[in-house]
Amino acid sequence: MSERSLPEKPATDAPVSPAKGKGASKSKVAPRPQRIRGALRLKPKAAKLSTSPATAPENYADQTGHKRISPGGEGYVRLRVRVGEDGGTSIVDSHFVESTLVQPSAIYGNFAYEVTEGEKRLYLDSIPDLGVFRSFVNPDGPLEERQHHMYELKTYEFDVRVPARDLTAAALPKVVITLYRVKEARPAMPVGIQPLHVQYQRELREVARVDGIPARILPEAVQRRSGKRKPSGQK
Amino acid sequence: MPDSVTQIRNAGPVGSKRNLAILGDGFADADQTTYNNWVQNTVLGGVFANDYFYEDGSAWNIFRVNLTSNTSGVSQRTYNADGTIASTTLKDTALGMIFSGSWSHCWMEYGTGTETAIQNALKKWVPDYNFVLIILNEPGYGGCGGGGRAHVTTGDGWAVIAHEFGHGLGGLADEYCNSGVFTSGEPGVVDLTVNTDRATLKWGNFVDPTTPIPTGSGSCSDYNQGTKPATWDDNQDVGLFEGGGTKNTGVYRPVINCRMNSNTPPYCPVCYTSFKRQYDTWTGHTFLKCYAADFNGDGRSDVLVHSGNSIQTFRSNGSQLDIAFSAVERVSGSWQFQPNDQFFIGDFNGDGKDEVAVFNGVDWIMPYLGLLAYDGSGGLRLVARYDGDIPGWGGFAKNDLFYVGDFNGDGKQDLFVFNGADWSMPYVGMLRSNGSSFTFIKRFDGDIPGWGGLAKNDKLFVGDYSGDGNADLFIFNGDDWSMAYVGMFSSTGTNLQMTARYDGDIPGWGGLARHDKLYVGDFNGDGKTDLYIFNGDDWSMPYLGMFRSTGSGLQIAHRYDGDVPGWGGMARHDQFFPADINGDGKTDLVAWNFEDWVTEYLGRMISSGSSLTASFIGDWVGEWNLGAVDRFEPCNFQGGTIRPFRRGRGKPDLFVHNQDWFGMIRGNPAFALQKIYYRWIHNYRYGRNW
Repeated sequence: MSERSLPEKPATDAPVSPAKGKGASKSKVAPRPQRIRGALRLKPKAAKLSTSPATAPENYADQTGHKRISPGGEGYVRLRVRVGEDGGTSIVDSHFVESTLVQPSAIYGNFAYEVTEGEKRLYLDSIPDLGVFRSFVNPDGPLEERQHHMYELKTYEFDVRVPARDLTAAALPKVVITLYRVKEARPAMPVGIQPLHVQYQRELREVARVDGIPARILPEAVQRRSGKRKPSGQK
Repeated sequence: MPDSVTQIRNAGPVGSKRNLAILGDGFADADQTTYNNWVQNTVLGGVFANDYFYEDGSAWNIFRVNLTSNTSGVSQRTYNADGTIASTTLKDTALGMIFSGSWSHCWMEYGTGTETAIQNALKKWVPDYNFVLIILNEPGYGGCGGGGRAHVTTGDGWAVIAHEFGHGLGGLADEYCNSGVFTSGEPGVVDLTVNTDRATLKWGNFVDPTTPIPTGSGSCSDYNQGTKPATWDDNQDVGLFEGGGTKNTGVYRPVINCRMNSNTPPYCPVCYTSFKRQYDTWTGHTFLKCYAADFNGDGRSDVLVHSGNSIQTFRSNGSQLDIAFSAVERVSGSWQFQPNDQFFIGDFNGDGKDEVAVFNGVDWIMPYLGLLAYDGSGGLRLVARYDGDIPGWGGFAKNDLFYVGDFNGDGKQDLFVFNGADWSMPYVGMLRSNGSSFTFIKRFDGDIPGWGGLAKNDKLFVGDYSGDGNADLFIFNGDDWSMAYVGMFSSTGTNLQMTARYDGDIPGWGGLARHDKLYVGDFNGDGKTDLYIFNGDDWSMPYLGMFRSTGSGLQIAHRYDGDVPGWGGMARHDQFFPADINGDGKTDLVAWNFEDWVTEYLGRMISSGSSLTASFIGDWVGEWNLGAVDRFEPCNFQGGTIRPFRRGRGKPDLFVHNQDWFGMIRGNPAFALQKIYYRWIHNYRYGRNW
């Protein structure tokens, strides 16, 4: 790396001749306005404008946003997975959501799911409360009612998010959704690069899984993107 | 009235937030106002206005689905003592839910079409919900929760719902006792345990070493192992108390009384922290954008934290910060927060409390300027807004730059505004505050007489260099001309008049240069704002100059060539923050360098009036690991007699912050860390969240 060769400042009592660079020196008057892309862009004359303060209403109308720009196909698929009495699973609904998708950096709560394709994680999230209903406590009731009445559900459903870009035709048969019960909660369970069943082998227990996602259950837009569906109208 | 949805809180894109869908059943056309009010008062004004949910409201989009039922009220069912149905009275409601008031039947149940109706409503109105709150138009008490849903009645209070959210959203267990002995193994939940070993207790980090473990022994115990300390807080002091999870013995809870025990107290530290960790990702909170301000006029600097479309303010009590205000999406008035909002702190109405001017030039279809003031209850509300322009300025533009200063000396801070980028010529404007709005006073088109032309890289600095009580302007330009210039412009209250222009040099400086950096402050305490100039780039060594204001010009007081005694050598990337560190009325400098040495240094350069004496601390300030990502806000969180909002005066302390960490550093008599927070500002009675 070359060293900078710079001058030393003159002493504080030495006469100074300011080093001049390129360009003009200031005069007593302003230079002429510069054109921006060939045009003069000047503010309206200030003297013609009102200087009275605006009267503030109690509530202003909403600020006006820019015209919404589509995120260009960015989005995710939301799948609703049903877990049956025998632990078997089925995907009962799906739809596309146009939004950025943030992946949590840790798991918390009593359940978590992970969507993987091979060793690659596509998404994961926590589910705080699943498979049970509780009646509220009866504060004025007999002793037995001063607690929740618990109802275990024989079948239950949970929602899964997967980035749409990952649901390619080639990937669909290999996509696995695994639902875990958090057997042993730790104060913090940050997510690493390994699949959950490896990273938290001790803390998590698999409850249910979906092996492969049938293309037919995906929203049409995602099916088209995955390349499995022919354009409508084509024989 | 056709069904519809109203997003009552817009925290952000649904994929980056948690989404709460609220559905009503049994609300006919005439009941919609009742429904809306209930949601407003109980959900927004109750659950989301208290402790955890108030702080982290930015994690939640809230959608109120407006379902119109054909009849008012919900279907009713009664049960015989043996559990058989005694009677059912059906009503034609949107979801077909049936209220029974029977605890053993979850107080309510689904009708034959309820599940389908719920699914259809959700799919149509809130397709990416995470949690569903269903409200029955039924005055009786009762509720049923689980599986990502909570069903409540209009007879339920917000605290009951907050408890239920502890289960449904927090995965928390009940901490109350009812009967029986817990005989299972270690519960998987965070707020119950069978472990009585302090060393491995899962909430042990919140337990003071002097607190006995267990702290309470026996059936549903209080503090009974030794004498309960006089300062003990049953809700916030953590120990190990037998009884919880509805059982009287065999299992332990962390505090005597949490919201998961009796609904009304706040969440205990264990439950609070679990919630915070669980939803931290979704809040979008960071400590990157923090502003020191004294919002309550007690002489102590509070802090405003801006993240995305939310703000929070935290109040200093002299030694720590506590949440005072949390707003998501907007404050009443209304101002809608966006990521590129710029905040300018000042006492714009002269009441001794700081207000906030906020400008956004890029996130909306037009630039907006707003003024936020105290709302009377600890928060902020919009009192004035200017959409696209303030009459006289001729249109806000995205590169408008604002500077705070009381240019007419009426005790109310005003605004200077400069734009050197968006027009064919640069403009300077003066916007006067009358306390509740801004008024355009004066505009300079392309020049302030005598300056020889405003230029795009002019840099403005506000300070009362004439000492007349009016904020004046220094302008520096090192880029646009063949030499560098400094100008001094005195405010008359309605105009600016140039009093001095320095072409290429200020006598004694040895030549102004392109990378000169100016810092304003009254370093000799004579009531006139002086000037520090630093240059680490253009010469063979760094220089720091002190220029005393005479009221109409500048005179060199001292020039430091390469070092300020005690600093150990100035370096190219030294940065400075003017602040009266020792409270003597003279503006000192906080010095900071993270680039030029093997470690980071934070320094105090104390002004005697004509010279500086430095000291520094390196690498760490207490537990604060100094780093390149750190940002500093001179402030006065300890409080004192000097008005903290006067720029550059009476700021002995520092707020230091970066993405994840926030610190309070005392500056006098030496730098020392007062408090450190990670990810969120909360004062645990004992322990911390990392």
